[in-house]
Amino acid sequence: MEMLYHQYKRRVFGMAHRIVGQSDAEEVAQEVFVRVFRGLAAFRGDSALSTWIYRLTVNAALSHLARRGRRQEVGDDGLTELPAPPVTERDSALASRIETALALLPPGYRAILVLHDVEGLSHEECAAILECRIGTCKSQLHKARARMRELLGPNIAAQAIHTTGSSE
Amino acid sequence: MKAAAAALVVLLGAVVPAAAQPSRSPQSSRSSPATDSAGVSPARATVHERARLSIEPAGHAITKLSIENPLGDVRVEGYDGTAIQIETNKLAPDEDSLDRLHISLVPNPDGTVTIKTTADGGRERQPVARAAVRIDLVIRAPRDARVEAAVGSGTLEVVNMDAGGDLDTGSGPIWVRNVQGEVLTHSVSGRTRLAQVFGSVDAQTLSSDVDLDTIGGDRLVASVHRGRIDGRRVRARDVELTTTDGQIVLEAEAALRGRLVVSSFKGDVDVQLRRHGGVLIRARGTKVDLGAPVRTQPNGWVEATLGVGDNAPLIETALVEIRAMRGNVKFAIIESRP
Amino acid sequence: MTTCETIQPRLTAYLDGDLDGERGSVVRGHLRECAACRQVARDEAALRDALRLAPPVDPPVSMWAGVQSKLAAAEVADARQPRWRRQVARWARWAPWPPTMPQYAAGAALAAAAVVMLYWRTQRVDELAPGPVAVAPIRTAPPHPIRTEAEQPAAVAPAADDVTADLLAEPARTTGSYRQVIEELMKLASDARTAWGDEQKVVFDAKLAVLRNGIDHAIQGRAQQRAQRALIRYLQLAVIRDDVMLAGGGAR
Repeated sequence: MEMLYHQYKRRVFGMAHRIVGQSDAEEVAQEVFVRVFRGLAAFRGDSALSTWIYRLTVNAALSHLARRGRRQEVGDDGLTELPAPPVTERDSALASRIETALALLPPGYRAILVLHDVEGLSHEECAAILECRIGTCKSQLHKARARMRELLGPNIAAQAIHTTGSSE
Repeated sequence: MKAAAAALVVLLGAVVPAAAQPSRSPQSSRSSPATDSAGVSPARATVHERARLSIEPAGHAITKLSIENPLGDVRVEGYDGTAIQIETNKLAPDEDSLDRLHISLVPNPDGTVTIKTTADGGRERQPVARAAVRIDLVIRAPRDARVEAAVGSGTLEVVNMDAGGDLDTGSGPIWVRNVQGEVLTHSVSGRTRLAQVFGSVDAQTLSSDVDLDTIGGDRLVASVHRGRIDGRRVRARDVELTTTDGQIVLEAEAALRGRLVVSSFKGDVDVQLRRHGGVLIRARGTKVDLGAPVRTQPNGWVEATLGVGDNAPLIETALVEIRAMRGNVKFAIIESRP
Repeated sequence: MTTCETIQPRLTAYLDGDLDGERGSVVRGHLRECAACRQVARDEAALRDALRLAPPVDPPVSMWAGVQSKLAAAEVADARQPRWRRQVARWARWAPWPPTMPQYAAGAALAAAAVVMLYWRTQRVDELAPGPVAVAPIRTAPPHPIRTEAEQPAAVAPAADDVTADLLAEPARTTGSYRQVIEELMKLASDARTAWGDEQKVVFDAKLAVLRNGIDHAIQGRAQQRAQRALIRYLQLAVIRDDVMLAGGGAR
């Protein structure tokens, strides 16, 4: 069981992190693993194990967001945690802007981008995980990327080269 | 390694309650008045939500506030207490837009509290202009917390704080009053006013005025690219005021061994000095009036020595240097204390 | 007819290699002739590549312990449930969470759904902690600064009419304002320079290089603006108080 945990911990946590943000990611990831372990015995294998785990993760993350959103309406004082992007030493300017922009996307768009572009899953797998038709997934991906392009501004390709700032 | 460090912090957090415990008085109201209680009626804002939160540190005292609010005003007020009390006011044209406005508040185990606002792209049905939404923050904090704050076009106001700060705005005004410590302010085009500040001050703007009133301590540096600098009751020991294009009007008190350097590339400079002891002044400009007999040096500097007898030790003399490359210099002693 | 309107929706598929044969060729043909669509394609490809390179996120070391304790708690809770509840739970365990894309089949699924709802709702009541919810959770790791700052090369970001996009574009605008002031001061400095001696020019050039280097190597956004401010101060000094600057009195 612990082996399974270690095999999937980065994917589960990473996805949770990018969808719900830094502070809630651990809680969501833990919930996911609990469900995995409790459900493992009855897992019928009608999908790949990884697909099943990804699905649990996405669903947990999205419903966590929905719950958190609802909490706000019920006399909450409106203070929530802002999702923080992961920071590594290798961060280029574009990479960090991308994490920020990801956090600003609607949750559904975040999910498809993380699954398809970050995790590298195929359209079929994404459709199985998100439980939608392949065509829907493809168009969601297109819209998600378009929204990211709007957020990141023009000439993303040039931003990808970490020029050492602008010299006058 | 980050993971190990995080784990360590977790363990410490469990053993020693160094983190803050939010205690909430869950007062939150959503309403749709035409104006909020300050009588401000932002164009088209019809929904607003007010909330209050109090954070009481359990363990470390709060040492620093780190605030980022690009969506409205920030006011930080010091008081004699240990908790941070925040009042937030969100305004938006409709509920959907209001839902996009978020405030995050993170108390860190090292005693700093981070407060940020944002507008997320989470649930918009249609775009909403930045000018149509706002989040205003009023924060009461322990006096000893250092304030680092960044604001966009809103007003940034810091009063009654004792540990200085670093304040940044885009076009919003900066008001600092009754603050001690190392104070740095910078703004692109926000009018900057500092009053009753004691310590070490550095104010910089690109295209707005700086106003200084009752400043003391060891150092005052202010520079403006385009705009004026006005100062009165300036008593810092080492003063340096600079404008590229703008007038400087200063009323200062020269400390015994003080240094006062006032320069402009373009614009007149007018300095009035209350002096203690001797003053050595040199100036240059299109026209120079030192209000006293002068010596003109071959290099163009105009000099005068005031209040220095033949026996007075020169090291106790204040040095004043005034320069207006394209402007007139006017200097006068207003009252002398031997 | 291949206009930009018809091509752009297909770009995602094209870039992901989903368009084969003639359909791909049509897109390629349009891209050869249309600079605007080429730019969009380039941008999307850069975005996709950057996302692919997004670093993996390591969970905190403590997470495993958390999973174990949550699991234990769930098992204890199970043991305490009345038997009928355990039956329901067994059926419902396989249903996914409240779906965000409700596309359940039909008929039989409805009954299952009802069971799920029942299970889920009761579960939720147990899960929700009473009392004030900690909306400002205690950080268990050093906080990561939100990097909202970034530099736009040359052109300023589009003034999108939405607040979020506007906020993202702001750091670039601010850096641009600083850059403008630096340009103005550089002009004044190059005028003043004509009156300097050789040694003075050397001092100035050296200091200028150091400060420019500081700007180039600063993290874009606030750190870069700080470096720009240092350069502005030095240029003011050089232009207005050149005797001090050139004597090595230097900017602070």
